[in-house]
This record gives sequence, C-alpha cells and structure tokens, in this order.
Amino acid sequence: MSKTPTIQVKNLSRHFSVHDKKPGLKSSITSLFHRPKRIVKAVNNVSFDIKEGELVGFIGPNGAGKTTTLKCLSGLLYPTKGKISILDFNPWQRKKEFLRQIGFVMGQKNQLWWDIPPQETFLLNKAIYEIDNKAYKERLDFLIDALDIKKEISIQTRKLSLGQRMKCEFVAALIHSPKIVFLDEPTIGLDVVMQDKIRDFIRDYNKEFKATIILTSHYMKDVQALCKRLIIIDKGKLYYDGDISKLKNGLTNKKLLTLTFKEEVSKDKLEKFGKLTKFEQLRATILVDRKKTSTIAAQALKELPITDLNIEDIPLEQTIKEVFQR
Amino acid sequence: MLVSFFILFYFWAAVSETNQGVGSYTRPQLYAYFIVGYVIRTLVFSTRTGDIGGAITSGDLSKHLLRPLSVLKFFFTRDLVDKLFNIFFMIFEFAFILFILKPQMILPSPKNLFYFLSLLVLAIVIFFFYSLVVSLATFWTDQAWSHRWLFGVVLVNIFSGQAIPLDLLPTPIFNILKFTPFPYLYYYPVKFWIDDSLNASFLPLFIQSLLILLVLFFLSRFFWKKGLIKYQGYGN
Repeated sequence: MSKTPTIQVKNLSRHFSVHDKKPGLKSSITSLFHRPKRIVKAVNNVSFDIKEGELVGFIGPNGAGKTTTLKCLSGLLYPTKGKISILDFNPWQRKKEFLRQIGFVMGQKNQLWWDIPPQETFLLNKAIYEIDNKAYKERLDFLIDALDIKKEISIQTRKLSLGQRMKCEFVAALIHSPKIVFLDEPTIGLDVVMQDKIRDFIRDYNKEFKATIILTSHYMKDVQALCKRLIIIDKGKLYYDGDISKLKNGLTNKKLLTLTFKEEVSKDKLEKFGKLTKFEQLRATILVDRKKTSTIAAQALKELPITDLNIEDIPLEQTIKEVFQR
Repeated sequence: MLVSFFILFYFWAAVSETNQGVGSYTRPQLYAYFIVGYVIRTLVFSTRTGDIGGAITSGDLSKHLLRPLSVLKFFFTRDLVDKLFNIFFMIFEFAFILFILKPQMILPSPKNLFYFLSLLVLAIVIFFFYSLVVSLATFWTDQAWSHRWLFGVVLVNIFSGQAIPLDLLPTPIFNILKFTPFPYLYYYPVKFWIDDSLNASFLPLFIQSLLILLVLFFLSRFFWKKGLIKYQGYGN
C-alpha cells in the first residue's frame, strides 16, 4: 500500500440554498414574489485522507452529508469551500483521465439504461471508456462470475429485480477497472442473502484489485463486515475518523452483560449492577462500565442464581446511535 | 404533427381560395410553404434536448457527468440519430400527404435546392443550441417545463413562421424577428424553396444564420459552465 494519500480532502464545505414555503394557495401566490431563502450546510469544513487500497466506511444519519461528500469527491458537485485532490486531480475539473479512474454505484439511482439489457450498457461503457476487446471480455467474465449474473445481463433492465439490477450496476461501474470506487448505499432495499453476496463481492474486489473504496451505508453490518476504518459525519461535520475498534473503546466505555437465571430475580436486585437495558422473566441485559466488567460479573455470579453469563461489546449500531443522540 | 399540418394546410387553403393566394404568395407557393415546411418541422424541431432539463431536476444528469465524455456532444449525437429515425418515418408521412392532397407543388431549381439544404442544416444546428440554452436555464429555475414550454414551443411555433409566413406580419415585427433565431429555423429555408427572388440575399442570410449559431453556441457553453456550479444533483 502506498503511503501517499490517494484521496485528500481539506476543509471541504458544500452549502445549498433552499427555499421555505408554507402550505396552501395563499403562500403559493406570495412565494411568486418573495421566497424566504436559507443556506443549508450539507458539508461543513470536513477534512480527511484516504490511502490507496483502503476500504473506508462513511456513515451518518439521514441528511448528514455523506452523499454530498461523495458527489463532491466524484466531481458532480462544485465545493463551496475547500480542496479535494484525488489521484492528483481536482475532481471538479472532470478531466477524462480522472473520470476513467473512478466508478460510482448509487443504490438509489439507476445508471443502467432502463430500456435496454444491461449487456448493451456494458458495451456502451466499453466504447466510452475505450476498453480493448480482450480486456473487456476478461473483465466482464470476471464480474459476471463474481456476481453470478450470467442469465440476467440479457434481460431488459426495467424487468430485473432490485437485487439483479444492483449487481448489474456494479458491473457497469467497474467494467473499466476504476482505481477509486464510491459506493453509496449499495445494499439498500436488498434482502439479507443479496446483501451478503454484495458484501462478499466488495471485499473480494478490494483485495483482488487494490481499489480504494468509500462505502456509505445505513446497514452497520455492511460497514462492520468490510471496513477497518470508519468516518462518521453528522450535520455536515466530521465526528469521527479512525478504526472501528477504537470507536467502540473511544466513544463508549460500556459493555453488555447478559445474564440467564435459574429462577426469577427482581429488577431492584439487578439495577444495582448497572443500567438495565433488557428485562425478561429469566433473562436480563445490563450495561456496565467497561473497566468494572469483571468485578461486576464476579459479584453477580456470587449474588444471583445465574446459569449462564455472557459479556460482549455494545453492537456498533448501538454505539453509533448513542453518538448521534449525544 | 400530421394533424396540426392538415389543420394549417386547410386553413391556408381556405384563406387563399378567393384570391388564389395571400399577400405575395400564390396558392402553389402557400401549399409548398406548408408541405416543405412539414419536412423542416420533422427535421429541425425534433430534439431530445428537453431531456437535459428533466435530467437536471431529477439528478439524472449525474450519470452522464460521471462518464469520460462530453455530455453536450453526447446529446447532439443522440439528436442526430433521432433525426435519422425521423427521416425514415417522414418518407412515409410525406408520401401520404402528397397522395392525399395531390397539391400543385413548386419544385426549386438546383441552386435554390442547395440554398434550401444549406439553411436547413444550419437550422437544425441552430435549433439544437437554442433548445439547449432553454433547457440549461433549468439550472436556475429548478423546474424544467414552464420556460421550455414558453421559449421552446410557443414562441418558436409563432415566430419561426410555422403557422403564418413571417412576411405577412407587420413589417416592424418582421424586422425585429430577423435579429432572433426564429426566422432562420423555418421561414428562410422554406422561402428559398418556393421563391427565387431572395437568391441575391442568400449569402448575407447565411452569414446571419452563422452568427446566430455562434452566439447560441457560446451562450450554451456559458450556461453549461455556470450551471454545473449551480447543479445540486438531486435525488440522492
């Protein structure tokens, strides 16, 4: 892996101006003459570097600025402030040499041509990216095998299921072997089996081609399964940038203690060990201080009729939720 | 388009019935004005540039911007391919019109045919850039169709001469229109088919057409560059 960052983002901001309008006919007429305008800071002074071959998770709640950041990185949006350098290109200039080296999969946006089979879109991309016949065939065969879509590529795009279409979107976005891949919620709306397949594909692709990948997703499983590094953004601001494991330790100093009992135990007895997060007849989950976990577990074993005890980290999803609720 | 053609044709046929013509136009000239005009309407005014406005508001423009190709050249090529399809269908429609109406047609001399074709090609390119500029205004208006309807359809239909030969309008209005792209889209090309009295002014008109094309070309580039800065890539 090269030490020079492939992606450098410095003080990136992207603001949008939006118009506010009250409901109703009267305000519709008024808005013809006067529309209150306000500025939304979708991305606000964000900086980070990403090295070649890294697979980085980029997460945040709805409207956090994830997609806007990716759009700035891919050259779709003009940054209000700040600098972006990708493979030494300024994305906004949309130079052909730059565009040849990036791929963008948008989970909620179709890039395949709707009225023709995906294989026709692939052929069109072959011409646009000027891929020679041999390289195209090798690449297409690899992607078709990896995503298992031999039969689907000859069916009209509009007739494909969401999962089939998403796999074809991957082929269209990667047929030209991009060095940088932006994946914007690629598993959204897919069933669990399909999500797993897409995750496996992304992992293998990253390993095999050493592509630098930025992945945004609302599914923590995607991020947990694929990324070592996480960037969290909220309300346009960078909240965290680092290892997933460090996030758990750094942002929460708690662990979950799950206890199974021989006989019913009262709530009062359990609450003295920590914050009770789940309470059933013969089972309870308690949030305890990370440092005191072993002491508390030993004490609980001594005082309560326990048949089973389990200590685990707080799921990433819950950690993130806590972060955003702070 | 065939229906609107027949409405216009029969309207002007009725108007010209009493005096066997209108203004300086004889009946065969009027027939030719609208029948040849049908070819012009098919070739010049069929454009897919309206899709650009829709792509801006829906965010679909992003898929074009991500590819290493000139988006405007892509749309221009698509327009030309569309016109090729239109030519195929137009042959049948044109044969149908001639079969139904069996009009007395004026055929141009080879020289006038050359003038007609030259201005027709220019009209196709002028309308592409005119329509492009109207579509690119969507970057600022946030919705695609109202200004397109006004500038891309209504004004073009009235002032290009599709409905009424422009020299039948009051002279001051006609003189003002000469400084707009509209007469160069329909009126002048068809005029060179039906009337050789204009032949001496072909070169100045051709140069004027080129100038209008140049203005629209640079205007579209300017709108494109400035518009991309405004582009918000809606819809995720």
